[in-house]
Amino acid sequence: MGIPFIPVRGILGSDYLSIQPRFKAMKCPFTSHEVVVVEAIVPDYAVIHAYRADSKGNVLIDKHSDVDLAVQAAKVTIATVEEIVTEGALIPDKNSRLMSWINFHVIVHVPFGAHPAGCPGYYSLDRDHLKQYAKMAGNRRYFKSYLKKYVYDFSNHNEYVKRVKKERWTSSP
Amino acid sequence: MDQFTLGQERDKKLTGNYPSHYTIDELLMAAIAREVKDGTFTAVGTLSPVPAAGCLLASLTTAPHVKLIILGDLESPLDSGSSQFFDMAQRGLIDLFFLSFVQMDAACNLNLTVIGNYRKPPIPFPRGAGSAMLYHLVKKVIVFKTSHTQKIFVPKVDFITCSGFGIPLDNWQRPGGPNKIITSLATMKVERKRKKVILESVHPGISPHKVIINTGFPIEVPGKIPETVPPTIEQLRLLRTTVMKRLEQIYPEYCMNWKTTIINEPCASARGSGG
Repeated sequence: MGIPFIPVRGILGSDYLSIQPRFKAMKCPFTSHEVVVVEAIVPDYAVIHAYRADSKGNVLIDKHSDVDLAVQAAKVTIATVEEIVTEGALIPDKNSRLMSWINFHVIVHVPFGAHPAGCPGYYSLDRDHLKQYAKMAGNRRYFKSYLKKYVYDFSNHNEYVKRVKKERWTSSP
Repeated sequence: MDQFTLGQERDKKLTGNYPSHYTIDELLMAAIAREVKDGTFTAVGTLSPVPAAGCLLASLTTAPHVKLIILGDLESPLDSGSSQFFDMAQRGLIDLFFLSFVQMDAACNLNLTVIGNYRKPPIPFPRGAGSAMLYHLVKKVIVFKTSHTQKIFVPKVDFITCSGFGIPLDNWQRPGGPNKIITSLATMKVERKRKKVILESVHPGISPHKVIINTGFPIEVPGKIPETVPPTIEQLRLLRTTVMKRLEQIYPEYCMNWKTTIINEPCASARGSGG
């Protein structure tokens, strides 16, 4: 929206007002009620993962996702998608909706890009991987070994996908 | 016949309106279902399988016209993401919502943020999301917890995520607020005008004394405290069939555990749990 801040009802009395510099209370210039205002976040990049894009750059996203908020806020917007189809071939079903090409700067074809989360219609959440992540994220040393194993050890995304697919199909039938 | 169906068969053999065996969560689901009024806008946040099940039960029985929004549900009636729900709440359209917490105090402040110092948190939590706003704007907030100890009910919270009685309750900012507290031991009523928490009912097998000593701030205890009404046989049947089937689409992991509890602890009632 490009606005510097937005008023939000409620919140008054919360300790967020004292520890979060983006939250301030002020007098509403119209009603004189005390109201909390929250500063806008303007990210340099927003990267979202979606189902499909067409060759024009239109993107089919999860109907109940809030990614449009990130896309609206950021300076540069990137959509990674499971599939790229020809223009006009994107048809929303009851679980998806379209975002126009005017929203995006870059579209990247990244199959399995939501892993270890799921992408409905393509693959489900990788529970074993997430359990492993939760365990290793609790400790700095474990987390470093997680990063080495699943982030730094690959030169590209395809190698990562090969590794996690292999782990997934051998660990759970 | 799988083991789960065996559990159902067992229940059919019981006589009377109330089964002798049900899990503590099933008792809470029935208690929550009683709070859902027909035709109201009722919403359930993420990570709330028990309130979701209670609302689904109500929608099948006493509240067929409830307008129910379960966040994270693929079948949710929202057009877009949860931001639509938060906007509706700001407009004062949501009648009932459920909030959990890590600490709650005598002034009905909720802490969903951190135990200890915010700047150097020994235990950070996933933060409050929109709860600081919802706790003021939703007409009736039910505070829900599957435990009940002095660790969670404290004299003063370490961090106020959602402010309770500290902020005037009748102005433009605050059409709503906390209304009831439902835990593994009891249900308690919140009287916002008098700024009091009042013991309303104790779960079967739990004494008022047990609730008092497990609550880290004074609560008002009337002379006669009724027992929380358990689920009826029909409610329990609906919970374990239609509701569970629907809930599995939203909370598969929770439902797996629920089934295991029914199989492994056929005698699990409110007795001896909680605390």
